[in-house]
Amino acid sequence: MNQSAHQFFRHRNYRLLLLITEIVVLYLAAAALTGFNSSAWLATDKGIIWLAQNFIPNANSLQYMPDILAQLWQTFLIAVAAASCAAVIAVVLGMLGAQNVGLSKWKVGWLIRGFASVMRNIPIVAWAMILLFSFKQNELTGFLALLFMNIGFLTRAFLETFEDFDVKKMEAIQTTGATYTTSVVQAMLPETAVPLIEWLLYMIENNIRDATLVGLLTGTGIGFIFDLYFKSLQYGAAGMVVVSIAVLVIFLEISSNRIGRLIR
Amino acid sequence: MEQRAVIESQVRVRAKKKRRLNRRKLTINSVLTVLGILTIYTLATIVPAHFKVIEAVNEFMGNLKIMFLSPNVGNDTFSKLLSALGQSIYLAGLTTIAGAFGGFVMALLSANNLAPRWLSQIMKSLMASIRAIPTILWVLIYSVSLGLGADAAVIGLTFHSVAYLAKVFANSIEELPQDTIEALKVGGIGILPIIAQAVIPTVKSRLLSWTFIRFEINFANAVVVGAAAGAGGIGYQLYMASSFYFDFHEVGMIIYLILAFTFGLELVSRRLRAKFIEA
Amino acid sequence: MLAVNELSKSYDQEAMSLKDISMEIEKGEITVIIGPSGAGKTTLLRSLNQLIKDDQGEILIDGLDVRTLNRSKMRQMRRKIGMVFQNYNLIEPLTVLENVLHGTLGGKPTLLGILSIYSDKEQQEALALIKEMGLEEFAFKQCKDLSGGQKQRVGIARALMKHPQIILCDEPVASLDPKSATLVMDILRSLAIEKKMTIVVTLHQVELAKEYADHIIGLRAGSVVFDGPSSALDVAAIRTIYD
Repeated sequence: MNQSAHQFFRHRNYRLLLLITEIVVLYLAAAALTGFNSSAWLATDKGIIWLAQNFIPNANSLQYMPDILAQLWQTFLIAVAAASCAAVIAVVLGMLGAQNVGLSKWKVGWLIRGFASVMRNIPIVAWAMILLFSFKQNELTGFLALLFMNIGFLTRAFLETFEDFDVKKMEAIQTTGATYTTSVVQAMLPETAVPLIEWLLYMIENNIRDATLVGLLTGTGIGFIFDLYFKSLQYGAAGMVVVSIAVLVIFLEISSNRIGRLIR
Repeated sequence: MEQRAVIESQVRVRAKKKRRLNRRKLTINSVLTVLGILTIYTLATIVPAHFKVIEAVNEFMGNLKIMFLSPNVGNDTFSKLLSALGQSIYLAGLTTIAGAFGGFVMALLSANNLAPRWLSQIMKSLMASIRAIPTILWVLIYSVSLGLGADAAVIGLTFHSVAYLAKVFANSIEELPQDTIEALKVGGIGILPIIAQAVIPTVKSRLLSWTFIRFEINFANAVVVGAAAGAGGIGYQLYMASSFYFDFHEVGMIIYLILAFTFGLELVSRRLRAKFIEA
Repeated sequence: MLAVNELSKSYDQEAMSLKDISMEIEKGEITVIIGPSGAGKTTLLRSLNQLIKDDQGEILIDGLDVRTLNRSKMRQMRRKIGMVFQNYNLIEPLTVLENVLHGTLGGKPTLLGILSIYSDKEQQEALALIKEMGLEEFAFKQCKDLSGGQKQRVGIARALMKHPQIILCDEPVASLDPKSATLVMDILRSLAIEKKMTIVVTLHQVELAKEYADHIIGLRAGSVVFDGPSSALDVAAIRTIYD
């Protein structure tokens, strides 16, 4: 029996060693293939020091504040609108697609899942570039790019939330003689409202970050003015943009935590 | 007498529950109202004056048709596109490995059942601030000191990965009961052996699935960085095809390639999720 | 062996606090602390190895006041005391053998602890203890696949690995079915008789206490209301504790 204890530990150490080797090899291979120089890790602090030196907002950069705030507000509006519109669509698609609800007579579940998956996995860069071509350089482009990605993300999230819902809870309302659709709306939506709203708030927060990127590519909103300041080497102003985005995201994160606590 | 006390306490509990339900309803309604107003306002003002929406939509649909129905490799070769896709995958892999290491260390420092309260608070705020800044901005910030290219892309993407994984790892670690850790501490066991002997074995599989989920996110980010910060890979090809050559056939092909890879990832991650995170 | 003099601990709420507790615990005996929930049983037990720091009083182990010990002395003292928990506190994904060997980590250099390097002697001893607990066929099984009674026996084996003189058991059988509970209590009894260990157990079942205890301490609202051999615990005494 003691022999088997030796074997057990030897086998365990062997597996651990193997795992560590695999990870190191993977890292080195990936680094070699991307042309990454591992000594760049040593420069991690340089970036932060540089950031601190150049991006600290000063009196000079404060004069850009009105412009930045106006763009930030616009970005916030687009983030909210895209997520909210996507949520409305996702509620409908999610209900149609959730297998346990069985609202639709045809088996559209897999179709809706597939659609959501495609919408979500097409890179937002691609959405932005394609839309830019037809809708030109304006906020509508950014809104639509976010909207498409959000529809994909929220449809899947909502659909899974609905599938977790215990359909037996709808029976009480059905016994009052309500139609099936009515009972779904009356029973399932209120019961699942909390997770749905939490997803929606998360989506808004995430949209602020993605809107920056879309703006960078399509030349609109907060991403555009960052690019403008950054490329013209006005780092103080660019720093203001970074800080204001971070503040907005953190503010949204805190508010959605608050709201989450109030409704749970 | 006792009976009455019981009834009174039941009444109190019910009243409390009702108040909570009312508060809940009020909060939900006000959140939805505010979001609704903001959305309607935005939708009403977003379309620029004299903008020909119908024309734009038609053109957009036409382009979608070109993309999805007649994809081809355009100016590049298929092998070139494949190797570009590979580049993005390597970039995602590299930043995920680095991010998992950094994230684990940061998670140990921010889990409230391991680290002292003050440290945990500081680390959590620090990680939240890093997360709040979009990945692409981190890459651009590092591109100033390191130059545009792989180095800046890797470090920028890793930054965000570390902050993300630190949060989800810390949440997993915090599910380990305080009692279990205390039981080992009483035995005079130091914090490092506790981490190696108790924390890691308990949370190992969850950390693995979160790391995999981050790999999916990092792949999307790698595409983004290629397009917006010129860091190469399939994202760069996408950017060139769409905004330089205006070749929607090639854009279609690139999107199909990306979808093929992400669908594969999604299959794996659904299994991992079912196995480790939701169980 | 173990003496407590006028120990007090106060909490914001009345429940779980201790008021002027004094008691003597003898070597080689099973001492059972009983009382209604919130009476302070767990607080008292956890004070004994200073998992809970108390407000005032004296706790003497072998004549040494544990409340005044410095860190390294405290560690030495704790090495003499094994602890067994209601919810076992095992590392579930690890094997029985590994969990039992965790008992040796306290005295190990950090690096050996991290790499889980155990000597031959430790491995032999762990296997012998596992056998003693009747778990030999499970030695290489993960703890999460064990029943509650089996888990508790792993918990006892882990406590025994550090050769304690005292074992503190916090509601060790509260989560177990009657049969497993008897088995666990039998093991504790044999440790007291054969290995001359000092065993302190909190229980909420009076019958088990009467059957297994050499010495019973009844707590009520933080005060000792009964202190005597188990034969002296009659209906009147039980009333004073519980009613």
